[in-house]
Parts: sequence; structure tokens; C-alpha cells
Amino acid sequence: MLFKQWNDYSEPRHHIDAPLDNNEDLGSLQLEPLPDVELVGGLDISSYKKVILTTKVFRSLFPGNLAHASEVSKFRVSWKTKSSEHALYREDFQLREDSLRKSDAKVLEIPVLQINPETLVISVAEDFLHVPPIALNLLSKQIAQLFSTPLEILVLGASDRIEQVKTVSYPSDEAKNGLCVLVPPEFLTNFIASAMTQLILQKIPFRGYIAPSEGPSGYEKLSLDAMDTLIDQCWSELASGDRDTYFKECHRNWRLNGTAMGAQAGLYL
Amino acid sequence: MSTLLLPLVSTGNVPQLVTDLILHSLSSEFEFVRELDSQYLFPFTGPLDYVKGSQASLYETAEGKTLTTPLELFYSSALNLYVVQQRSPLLQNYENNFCKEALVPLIEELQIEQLIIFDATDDIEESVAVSRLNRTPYSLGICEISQIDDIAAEFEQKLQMKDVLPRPTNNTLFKFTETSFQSGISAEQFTYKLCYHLLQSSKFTSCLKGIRYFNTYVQEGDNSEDAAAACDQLPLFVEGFPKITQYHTPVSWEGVYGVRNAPSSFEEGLYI
Repeated sequence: MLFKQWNDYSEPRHHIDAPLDNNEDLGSLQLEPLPDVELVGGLDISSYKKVILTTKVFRSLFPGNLAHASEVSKFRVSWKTKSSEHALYREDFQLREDSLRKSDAKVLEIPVLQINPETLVISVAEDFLHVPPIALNLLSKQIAQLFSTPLEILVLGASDRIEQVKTVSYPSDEAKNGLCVLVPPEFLTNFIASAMTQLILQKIPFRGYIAPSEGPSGYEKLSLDAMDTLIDQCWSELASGDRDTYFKECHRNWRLNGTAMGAQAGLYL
Repeated sequence: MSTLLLPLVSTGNVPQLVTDLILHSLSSEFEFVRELDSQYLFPFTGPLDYVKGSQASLYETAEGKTLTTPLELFYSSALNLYVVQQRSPLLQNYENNFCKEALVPLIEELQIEQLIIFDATDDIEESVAVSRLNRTPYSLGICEISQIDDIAAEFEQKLQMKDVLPRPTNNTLFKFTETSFQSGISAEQFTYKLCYHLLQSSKFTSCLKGIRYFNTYVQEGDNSEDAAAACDQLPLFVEGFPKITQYHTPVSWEGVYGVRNAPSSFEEGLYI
């Protein structure tokens, strides 16, 4: 038997796993408009001590908290997609009746939640198909600017380039709680990487945990081991009541949300 | 003469690999300057890279630094050479924003006299390809800005486009050497956009004297050898650049092309 590569065209390695627009005007010398990012309603952060930056994949770590949290403010990201022509058809005649040219305005709202009187949570719903990376980069910039005053910043992120839960911190680099730090060639990307980059650029200290994951941005699956480690760390970070109750609730949420691998009767679905 | 080496994310990541080789092989000469704004690049954060068993660290002067970001600036005072390391690709459609808002201001701020753009390709446009026998896998294009006396008058001419189908190309901006495999650049290339925004900038004449475009022809695969070979070419066109006798590869290169050795036996339909 002979194994042969049967797709002649292989995507070049420097191209990234993100959907690309069919841009016909590659030779354009015009600047591209940027998405707008604004903090709706303002926010006085002086009464808070801690902020947690995370993605929706980790929502199970806040059982009850996020549901009962109060929204103190929100970031609104708005951008326009390229205009596209939609043809309208009448079902009974199958004839083209009209064509509609529209430029879609998209809005993404990211709430700033208060889960207890001292703690804020910003959980971003990543969606690599519909949210352009520039929107998340600009959002990170705004977040970093908002939290430039002394505040404890904790990041919770995922990476498919690591095999166990790792810690990150800036500026000090001490391994804590028996967890290791990242070593080359491990790295992370997506919103959490963008947020960390902006915090580093503005010299704002932070620390956090990065969990191993599989799957595309926004739809990551985590292993049960990684989940248990995270629950352990977050229980001490959040100091949220009885340990056993917190464990059980997190596990239940995790199954409900389908973010754990093996949650669907042993099948990858 | 202060020089800036700018590696473009391109085929096989050869320019990035070359930058790694330069920075880590000459780590005693280079120091980390600062992180650059990377809002137009794909997000990336990683641990600090190092050479196994080496005492010298590239980040010695950067106190408290624990993580790398997508775009970082390094400097060697001995060579008067700035080097940018770009670790993730540009976001689609934002090439012009990146040139105008990130690179042009940086070149002006650092008072760069010589800009070297490092590129790699595996597919050269037919309209700018050279079909000569003496061509090498390297291309060097030189643009001397001092030769442009009247910018306003020559601007149009220097950036003039030949509307050759299927894609517009430019053959006058860079003067390519005899052994180059190309004679011009495509208007869709990042280099063309960068030159356009640089030449449009009002302050560029005060410092920038020349732009060199170095392109290398490679196939994707394990490109570490291509990087070393391309690095050997640098002393030929970067003034004062030393010949590196021993290349040090950083630890991040391990595992990039697979951590296992190549299979040597074939049993029951499987390579082992």
C-alpha cells in the first residue's frame, strides 16, 4: 500500500486559520476603517479590587455568579461588513424579483459584570467566524486603558499549544500552586493573547491561568483534567463558599455547556 | 548609518527565522528595546525565547519581562542596527493602516537612514520574473531616495504602474541586481504599500536615504537551512554586518517541524 498526499494544494504555513474576505482589491492603498469601541455609561473602577478577563468558554467557573451578577457597564464594538448584494426571490415564481444591496452594521456588546462588591468579570464571546480579530484587538486596548489604575487583574485563557494548565504573570515569573509557566515553543492567541499584549504594552501587572484546549476560537473544548485544575484554582481565587458545592456546580455547568471533552457520552460531536 | 531590518511574514517564515538567527547568534550585541503596538497583527503571546546552554540572554536589559508580544524592537549599538521581530501575520485589509500608523512613524522616530525589507516567496509573478540563467535564489532591489531630486515631479514616475494583466506591477522603484530572480514588484505586495506610504510621508527625506528589498526564493518545509543560507547573504548588502560563524537556534525552533525523528522503517503499512 502506498500513502500519497492527494490534495495538490496545501495552505501555506504562514496563513492563519481565520476566514478571509474575498477581497478583490488587493492593490488598494487606502486605509481601512476601524471598528468603534466604546464603554457605554462609564465606569468608576476605584471601588473594585479585582478584575477577571476571560472568554465565554470559562463561564462554567462562575456557577450562579454570572447569572446573578449585575451589569455595571458594557463595551460596545460596532463595525461594518463589506456591502453584499442579496437577490430576493419569490418562492412561487422562482424569479428574481429584486436585488438588495446592503452594508451590514454589526454590533457586539460585552457586559462588564460585578460578581461581588469587589470583583468585576469581563467575559468575551469569541466567534472567529463573525467577529473580526481587529475588533477584539481594539477592545483589548480599551480594557487595558480602563484598568490602568492599580487593580488585581486575573486572566483565564485557553491554548491548543500546551498540554497542562500553566500560569502566566507579568512582571514576575514565579510558578505558583505547583503549576508550570509557559515554555517555548508554547504560545497562545485570540482575545486573551490580545489582552495580555495590551496590558504588557501599558506596563500593567497581571497574572493568570492558561488551560489546554482543542478546537477553534470560541468553540474550544477542555479536558476533564484541565477542568479540575481550573476549578481548584478558581475556588481559591474567588473564595466562593463551600468547596464541595462549588465543585459540583462547576462540573454540572460544564456538562450543560458542553465545554468539556467527553461530556457527550464519549463522542466528539 | 542607522539601519532597520524589517522581516515580513511570508513563505516558510524565512524572514522570521533569519531574525531569530541574527538575534540569538549575536545576542551579546543586541538588546531588547521595547514592544511595538501590534493592533493590526493577529494576537500572540508567548514565553521568552532563549538558546539552550547559553549564558547570554537577549532580554537581559528588560527587567520584569516575562512574555513576548507580536511585534518587538531590538537594537545593536555596535552595528547601529535596529531589528524588528514580527511573530504573527498582519490582519487582512489592514496592511495600509499598519504601514502608515505603525511603521512610518517608527522609521521617523528612530531616524532610520537605511531600511531593509526582508521577504520570501515561492511564487514569483510572471510579469516581474527574470528568465536568465545566472539568477540565484536571492533578489536584491535597491531604491536610493537621494536620487529623487524633485519628489513631487518624480513621485508619479517612480511609483508608476505597468498595468500588465493580470496584476499591476512596478519596475522602476527598485533597481534589481544582475543575479536577482525578479525585475520588479507587484503592486499587491506589502513592500509596494510600505514604499508608497514612506514616500508620501513628509518627513522621510530628512533621514531615510535608501530602501533595500531582499527577497529569497524558497519552498515550504523545514526552512531552517534556507534561513541560515539567507543569513549568510546579509553581509553582502548590510554595511558592517559581521559574518556569523556559528548559528545559535533558539529553543522555540525545537518541535516546530515535529519533535520526532523522520521515520526510517515501513511496517504493515505504517512508517515507524
